Amino acid sequence: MAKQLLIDAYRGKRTPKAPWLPYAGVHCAYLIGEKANVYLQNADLLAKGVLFAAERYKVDGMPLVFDLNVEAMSMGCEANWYPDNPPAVIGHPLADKTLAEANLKIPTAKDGRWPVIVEAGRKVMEKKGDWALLGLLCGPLTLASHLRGVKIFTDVVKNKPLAGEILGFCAKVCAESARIYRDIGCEIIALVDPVASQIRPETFREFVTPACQEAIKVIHDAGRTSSFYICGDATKVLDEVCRIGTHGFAIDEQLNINYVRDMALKYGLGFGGNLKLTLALSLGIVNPREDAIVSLAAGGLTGYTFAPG
Amino acid sequence: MSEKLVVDILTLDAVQCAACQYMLEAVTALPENVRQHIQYKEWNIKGPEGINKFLEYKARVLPTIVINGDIVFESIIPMYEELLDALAARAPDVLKTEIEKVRTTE
Repeated sequence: MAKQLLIDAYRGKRTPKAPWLPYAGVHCAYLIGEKANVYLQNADLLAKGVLFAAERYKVDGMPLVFDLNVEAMSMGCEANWYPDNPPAVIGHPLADKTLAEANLKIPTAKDGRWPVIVEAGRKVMEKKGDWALLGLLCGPLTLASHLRGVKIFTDVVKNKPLAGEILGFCAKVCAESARIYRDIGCEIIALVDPVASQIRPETFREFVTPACQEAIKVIHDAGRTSSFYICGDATKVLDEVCRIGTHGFAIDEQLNINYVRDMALKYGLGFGGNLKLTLALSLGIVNPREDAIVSLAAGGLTGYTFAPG
Repeated sequence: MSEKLVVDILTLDAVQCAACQYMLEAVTALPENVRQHIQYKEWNIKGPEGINKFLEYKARVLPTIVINGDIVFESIIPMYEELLDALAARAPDVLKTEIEKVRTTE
């Protein structure tokens, strides 16, 4: 376990070995025999699960929570809870209302689901060993999708003023989430924006990049380490991801790790992934051991974090 | 009942993956008169059925929308009009008519 090893890799530095970061998420609930829907709403269980998983997997870092619905639910978005998954937002308050009509407020540490997470973070920080705690906040386009629904993907092309207004609001929410994770003490804070891979590069540049800047400034002003997580086939927007302003980024199993490594090296960024979460770890179609060896070999020792994709 | 247009949405899991959730929602949020003429289904790759469908279409990435066997949207959530265009290009006459109705009323 080595907090500094992970921070160095996340900042694109050369490391003596690749740090290890499992995004255990609700798997922590499984490890301690709890249902995800119970686990995510109980600070004691959250702390217990994270600390247990960190010890079991001998991590260099662990997320406090991996749930991209926290912000939206804390603003009142309707969601379904699941025993084996994070919740999923099903109601979109901006689908047929403006921001003013919906009267959405930026959630603070005292609102919605945040108090449970803040309390869990405090408990983890008191007891954790030499590993980095990561705060993962919902990125602006994913949050905009939760608030507006699928219409946001038409708005970013056909109704840019409205898209700009919604993404501008989401940028403020992201910044507040970054402050909450900063105040918890998270050493690394990442904007997690999976749907940002599902748009064109020019749309990313126009809406996602600016909406991340305030949160990134919060992280950097506090001297913390930043990252941008993206899922899916992000090949077409990877150049934009590299230019967004974070210390590094993380990708999923659908990208070619050699291409990703070369892009990260070109920009001097940290990068993480892309163990085949579905094909190897979940389905077993690819041998997980061989997959790990390939990832480690391709990732190298400059800025690379060994992590699932 | 006329023949329905088959729309398959290949996902990791629309509950677990936000990109998949909104790719699926692009289809489920279509107007009712359009949805009546399409047969849509999510195929998540976490089970053998989904894996077989992914292989059958020779899909490359997730999420993907397949319309009448054509891979149309790969890792790009379509704009509403783009999706209507893609459906109309493969639709039987009755669905084309319904899509035109949607376009003229919006």
